[in-house]
Amino acid sequence: MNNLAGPIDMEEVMEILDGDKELLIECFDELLNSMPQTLAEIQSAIEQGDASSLDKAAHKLKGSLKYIAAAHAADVACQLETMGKDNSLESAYDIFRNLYDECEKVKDFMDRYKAGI
Amino acid sequence: MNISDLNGHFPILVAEDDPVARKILEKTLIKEGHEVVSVENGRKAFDLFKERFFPIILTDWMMPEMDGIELCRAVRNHQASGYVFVIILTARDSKDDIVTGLNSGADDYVHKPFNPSELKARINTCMRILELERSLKEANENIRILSITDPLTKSYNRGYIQECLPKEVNRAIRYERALSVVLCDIDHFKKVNDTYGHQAGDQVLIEFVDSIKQSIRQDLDWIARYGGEEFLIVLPETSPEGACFLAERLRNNISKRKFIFHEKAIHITSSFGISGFDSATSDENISSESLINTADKYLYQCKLEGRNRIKAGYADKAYSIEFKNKPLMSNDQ
Repeated sequence: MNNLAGPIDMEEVMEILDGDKELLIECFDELLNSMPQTLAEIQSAIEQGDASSLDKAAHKLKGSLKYIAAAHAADVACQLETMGKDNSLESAYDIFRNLYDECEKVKDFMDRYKAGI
Repeated sequence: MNISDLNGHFPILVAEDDPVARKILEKTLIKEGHEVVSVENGRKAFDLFKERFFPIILTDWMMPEMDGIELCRAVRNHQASGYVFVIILTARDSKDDIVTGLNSGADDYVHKPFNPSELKARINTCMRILELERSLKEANENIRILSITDPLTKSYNRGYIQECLPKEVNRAIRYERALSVVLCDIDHFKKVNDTYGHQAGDQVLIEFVDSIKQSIRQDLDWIARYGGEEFLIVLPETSPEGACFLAERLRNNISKRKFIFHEKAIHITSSFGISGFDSATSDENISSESLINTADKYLYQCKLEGRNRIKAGYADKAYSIEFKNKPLMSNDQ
């Protein structure tokens, strides 16, 4: 499972965490717990046209994804963060759908890693 | 808790809204032996900081409610008991952002995502600076103590009298309380020096002060070297009559005591001039100078009348207090 190819670069995440596998599991747990809420905040911000809240929520999720080396998902979160900063939400919902899909892949990866598959 | 209670222990306050980053920070720092308290925004961090001193704050930049920059400014504007080392965590890395962070009061910054080894190194640097601050404060405190202490007897010195007696007088007046001072002097002290030598004289002075310290109230009364073999005992919340009882006990103790120097017993006696006032019943303007002058006047009377005695009176009244085992008031103007 450690060499599993996928949305998380395991080599990079182990470098970020100084090889601490116990910490890695704890980080996965934190993200699994917080991700649904943060995604809901992003969706709600887009629906209400609240650029500032979108900026903050997307920024938070981007940070978490970067720590676990989920580069692609982090990039998509970054796009939403930029849209929030620029107060330009026109295609934000499409990007959000993309982010949601990427986060599902990350979630699935983390679940399987924890289960040792 | 303030900086002096920390004694080289530096608890860290973490403000980070990203739960993954917060977990990494907590785990990394706890593993290094640090005490860590973490919260999810700057507002909660500042509220906690106002209740408890943290010498190290690690804060994210972008957070809801209060961001890292606002937290830095709030911490710098708050009267803390010691220096607070603030490290700002940020994904931003443009020079302008770094300048903004440092100008708002941050001491250092770490780019996100940070590596635990880099974080440990930054915290170690910060601890070296805080340890330096702690040792400087300790040295300053030692210098302050030396500046108010008589090096021979370890009682306070004359500078301390000048600094603190006016405060004691003001406090007694403000709260309408009593205050007394006792100016005491070792009788024929020159003879001790001439007969037994100056080392013996020094030893007698040290033991004389020790014996007085044992009889006065700790943390309330205090004794200072007024000059040569003269000492001033300051007795807050004490009327001149009360001071007479204490002085009589001191006089008795000292006259019965054997001061041993190089196996030779030295006997001494001492004289006590007392003055004081009770602000609740006094209309006069009392000053530290008038207190000392009155005590000095009564000490001089002791000398004239044969030494080894006490003489007392109110600083704001012209009559003295007759003291014969119990204080009696009498006019002798």
